Amino acid sequence: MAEASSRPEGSRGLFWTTLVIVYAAIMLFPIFWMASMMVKPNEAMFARPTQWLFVPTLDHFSYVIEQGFHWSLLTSFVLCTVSTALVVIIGTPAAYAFARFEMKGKDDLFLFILGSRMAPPVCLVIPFYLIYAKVGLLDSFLGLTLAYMTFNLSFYVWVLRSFCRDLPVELEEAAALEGWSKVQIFRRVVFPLLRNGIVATSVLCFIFAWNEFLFAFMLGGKSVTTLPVSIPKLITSQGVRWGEMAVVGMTALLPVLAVVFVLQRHIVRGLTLGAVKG
Amino acid sequence: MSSIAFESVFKRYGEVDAVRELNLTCAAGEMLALLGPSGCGKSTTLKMAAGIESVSSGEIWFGDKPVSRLAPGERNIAMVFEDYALYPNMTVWENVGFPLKVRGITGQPASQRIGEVLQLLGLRQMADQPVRGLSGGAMQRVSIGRALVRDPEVILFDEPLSHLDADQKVQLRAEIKRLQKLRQVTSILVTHDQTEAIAMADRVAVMNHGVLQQVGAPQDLYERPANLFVANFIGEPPMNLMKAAYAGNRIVGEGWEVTLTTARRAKLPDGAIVAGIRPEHVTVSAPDVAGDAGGAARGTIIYREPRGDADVLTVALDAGSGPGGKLVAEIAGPTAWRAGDKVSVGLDVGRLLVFDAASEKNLEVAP
Repeated sequence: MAEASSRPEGSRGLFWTTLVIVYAAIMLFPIFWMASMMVKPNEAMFARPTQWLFVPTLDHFSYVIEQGFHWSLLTSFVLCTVSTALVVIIGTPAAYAFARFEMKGKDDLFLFILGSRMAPPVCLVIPFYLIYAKVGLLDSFLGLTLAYMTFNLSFYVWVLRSFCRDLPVELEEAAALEGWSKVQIFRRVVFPLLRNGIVATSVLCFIFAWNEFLFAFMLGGKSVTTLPVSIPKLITSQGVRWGEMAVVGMTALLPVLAVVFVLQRHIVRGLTLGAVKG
Repeated sequence: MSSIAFESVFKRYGEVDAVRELNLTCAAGEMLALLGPSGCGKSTTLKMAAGIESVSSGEIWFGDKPVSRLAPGERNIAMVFEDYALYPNMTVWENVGFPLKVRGITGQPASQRIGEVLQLLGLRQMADQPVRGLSGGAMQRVSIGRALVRDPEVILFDEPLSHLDADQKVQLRAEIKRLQKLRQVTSILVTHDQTEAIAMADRVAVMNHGVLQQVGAPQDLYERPANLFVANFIGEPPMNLMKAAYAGNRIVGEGWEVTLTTARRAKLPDGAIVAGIRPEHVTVSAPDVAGDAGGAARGTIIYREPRGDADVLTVALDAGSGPGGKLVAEIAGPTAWRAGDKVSVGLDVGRLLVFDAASEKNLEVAP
């Protein structure tokens, strides 16, 4: 009922609907264009006037597979999944501890954790490169996982701490009265209530890692190439392979869209998480 | 069932004493209310009894067992929280049964006890509903059920009625008291609401700034408050407190004066005092009958608040020079008095309390 009554009436409603559709069309047009480029023959790519109708081709797809781009996709996927999983495993207890426990220098430590996100990434990547060159982590899976964890962990802890703070502390006190240990309380009371917050925050971490270019470019190499880093390889001495670029770009976009669609409910709920109150 | 005793208990947060040298006993089976304004240390005291907060110094005894080093789970206590603290992803049945499940009590014995408690609280019909979406009153019932289900030695109530609507408040107040007497379980109730404390508790302990002010039966606190804080905090409308001087057998205030009996006079030293009198011990009459016994002052009614069965009148006293003090009178009503009426005010001298102006202590109550 509330929805119906809050909807503007008649022509005003029509105006807003049109506006939203136009806005969506503008926003989505580049994606549509990229999708069409995937199957557009090279001759039609830059034809003037624009050729809206053409015979679709799968040439771009076969080239991308031939060149082994699917390995980059796999690298990206494993790298992001592993680094995000580690962030969740380490970051969740850390965020809880920051929210609940008293310790010396807590606020300073917390600010320090955030420090890694304050500097522009390009400032951080140089020391990373020098250290990695010394210890032999350049172009290694472990090296990139660690690098991604440093910036995602700080973000994750920062956001999840506020989720933890929103949980009513009485729930934990009630469980303590029943004789549960801190670990049991965390696992069986806090964790289930934090689930939506964890999903929402870790999805954001996954997306950050997935879209990351600079670290992957500087610290990766021939053996560890993520999807975003692989795209510039399509700028070849024989010219730019636009169709193939569209294929890889679309491939990079799809998992993010899929994740957001599937987990949308959790994300929205996570972002509006609150305690049960009467 | 055991008694609870606080013995010289301190709670310090850095430089601040949240609770200072608390000595207080709650007898077995008794319900004791901790009453005071927010920040007076009553919740901290409760949490120390629960073991959620540690004790800085002193000892807490359950019966003859010192508990201040025990973890909350080892004290066999249950707690009812202001925000209910129910597990949102469980049903009513599961929430009430939770303490049993944790202790490994399952099957027939468990479901029998849960069933009994739900019956007692009138929650039988809601057993399978999730607690999310229940009314505040129902949630608090579930929370009380969770406390009762395993027969704890002590139940601690932390502002259990603050978030409820007025009608549910009254209903649940009576119900908590009934269940507490039925089960004879030692209970401490923390509240900032004097009506709640007086209605539910056998004895009331008033706290302010971390210091215990007075403990006693509700009527004791009402009739013989130990100091100005208790006098002012208990009673609605609050007690009239007026600066005055005491000399000989006369108390002289701003625009009023009374004479004490010789018996009382012997106990009181001369000096600056604060006189206290409850509004229901103030009488108001037409000015022409003034001057006789009890007529202590003249004044003008500046405000009349009808309460149905009584009227609360605020009277501005005429002083010899300039405006005098104000006095609130509560008289059986309805009356025909109106704002602006000139009146004569009588004080029931026998009920007048005398506090020392400097120490704020009631001079006639033994410390």
